[in-house]
Amino acid sequence: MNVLDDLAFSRTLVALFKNVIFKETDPETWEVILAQKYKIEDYVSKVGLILIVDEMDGYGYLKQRLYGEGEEEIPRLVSRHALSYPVSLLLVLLRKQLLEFDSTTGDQRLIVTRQQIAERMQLFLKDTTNEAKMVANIDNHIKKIEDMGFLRRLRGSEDSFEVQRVLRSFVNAEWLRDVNELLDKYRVYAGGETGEGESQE
Amino acid sequence: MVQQKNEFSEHMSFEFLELLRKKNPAWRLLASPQAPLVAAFLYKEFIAENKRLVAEQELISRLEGFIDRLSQGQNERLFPRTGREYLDDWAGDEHGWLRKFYPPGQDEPYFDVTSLAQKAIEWLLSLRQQTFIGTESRLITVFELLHQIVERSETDPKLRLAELERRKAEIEQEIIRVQNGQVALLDETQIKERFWQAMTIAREILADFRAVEQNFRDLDRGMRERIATWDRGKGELLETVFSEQDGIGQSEQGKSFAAFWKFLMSSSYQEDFQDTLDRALQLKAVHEMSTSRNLRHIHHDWVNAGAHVQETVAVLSQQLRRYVDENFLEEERRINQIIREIEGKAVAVRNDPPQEWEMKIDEVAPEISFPLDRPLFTPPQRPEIKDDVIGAGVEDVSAEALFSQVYVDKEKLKDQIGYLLQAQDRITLSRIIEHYPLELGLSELVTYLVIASESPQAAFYPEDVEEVSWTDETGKKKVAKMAKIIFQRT
Repeated sequence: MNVLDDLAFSRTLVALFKNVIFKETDPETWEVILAQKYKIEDYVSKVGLILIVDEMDGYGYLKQRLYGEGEEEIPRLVSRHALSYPVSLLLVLLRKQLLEFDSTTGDQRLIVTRQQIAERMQLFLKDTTNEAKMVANIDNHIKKIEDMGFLRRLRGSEDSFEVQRVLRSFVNAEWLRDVNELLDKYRVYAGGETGEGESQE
Repeated sequence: MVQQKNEFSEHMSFEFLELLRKKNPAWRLLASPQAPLVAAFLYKEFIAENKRLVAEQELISRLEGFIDRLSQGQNERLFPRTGREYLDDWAGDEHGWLRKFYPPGQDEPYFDVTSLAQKAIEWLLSLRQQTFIGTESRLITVFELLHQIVERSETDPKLRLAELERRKAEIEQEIIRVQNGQVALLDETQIKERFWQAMTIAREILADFRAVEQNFRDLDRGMRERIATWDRGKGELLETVFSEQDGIGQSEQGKSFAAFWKFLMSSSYQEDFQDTLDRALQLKAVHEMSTSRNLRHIHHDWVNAGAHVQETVAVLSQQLRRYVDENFLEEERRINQIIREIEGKAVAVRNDPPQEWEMKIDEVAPEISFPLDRPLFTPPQRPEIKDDVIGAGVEDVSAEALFSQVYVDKEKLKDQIGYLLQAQDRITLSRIIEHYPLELGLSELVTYLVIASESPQAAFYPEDVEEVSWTDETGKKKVAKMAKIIFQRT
């Protein structure tokens, strides 16, 4: 390993500590991730992180390691966003759209507009006569998700967003199951209902 | 043959045609009141130029310019809506004349004509009657094709040999005739006819590429849909999936295109084709035909269009291979199931949404904050201006010097810095110059220094000396040593 490789390794490591690395926007760092994968994994494991690389979708990031029972935990480096109910719902809907998109086309990039998001959200929001307020709320939810890094506003466009494919590994089966269970708990708590029809679990 | 007939009659039944007229983009284009506008514009922008993608802004301004020219001398604008509205309309599902998509790395949508819209336009083109229809050359082509099929599917070596002997005898006969001075030439009409036909086919090949690409997309979509809606056993799925791993490459369309591509890319073919085409174009009869499109470059057009299809296929195959991955599918299925459950529950609590909600999601990167990672305030340095009297100069310098000054576009340099800062939090000036080498030498470097001194984003580190180099207009390499400057994202 020569000096140049070492330098590239350090730069890549710092870049990963700051953000997700995308193949498309940062091909140089991406190449280093692929070439020095094991070295990076080894390094970050010391601070309780694991390296996730999706070669097909072209992204890499550092994830907090999960601990099994009886394992000694070290403090978290990756913090967690607290999500409101509508923002959670919006994440679910975006994940669904990505799923539908993949099952119909071989295109890589899913672009959604603000209007499309609003239409999809409306089905699940309280009926309101104050349409303007609802739209403003949806804009806030979009902004939150943009800040988390799962939506990217297209350059030169106010209303179009690319759904970052990295969303797939955050809104995964496990996370969705948690949302589902939380909804169950809420319904029991709110109305003492027994559930309408989805009692098969 | 009987079966074939039935198939056609089904396609020409009243009911089927009724449906076709409503649904088929090609027919809808022809039936649309806007047809002359759509066909003329799309022909001009895509088909005549053999373009496969045009950026949205460019296409909008061209369409508006096109409509402006049409409206000249009219009392009111002929087509009242904006260019963007028309394009979105034409790309919408109810029309399907344009395909709107985002190429990798582009934030602006691009357009291409769909293969069915192209078909409608080509049909309109074919209405222009040719001076004559080459019946003889076409008959010969049909005959030769049939010959090829029969000969090359003959497995009996004896029969194959007999055929080769027959052709050998024919060639020997011709050699004797030529030796005796009897050369059979094509007459002028025959030359024209054959040339016409060759060029028509050549252009049709070009037109076919869009349809070929569309076929590949349809194949891909078909497979995805089948996989997504698979409801039989897992073993069976794996079997299908395994056999369809290379579904696209193994389809008839895939094989045919691969063979075409191999032939097109072989160097012996390329030389032969260009050489033969050049010689044909020099013939007097051909010369007189003054063909409209630039046929000399048809080969390049083929290669370009073919490469485009090739790329599409590569991307589709790669994506599809991932899509049929067993783990991927299992996971997607499970997720689909959970999402449906969540949706059902969310609708049920629609009017009474949870207020207390404890859901969290990981951030996409570890959290490391740098509260001190911003430059501290430094008072701006005020230049001292001396109050000297300025004396009148002697005007013995040519004014030329004023005009030959190098102009450095400060905004452009700022943009470059801003652009690089999108990808990283901080960057040194020397790195910026590595990305965008100095084109105007010292003046450009000085402009960077000016920008740095004005910008709150920049910090000077006089202890660290950096080197920046460039090549001046005489080709000499120059090096400047200066304090390190770091720009950072605000």
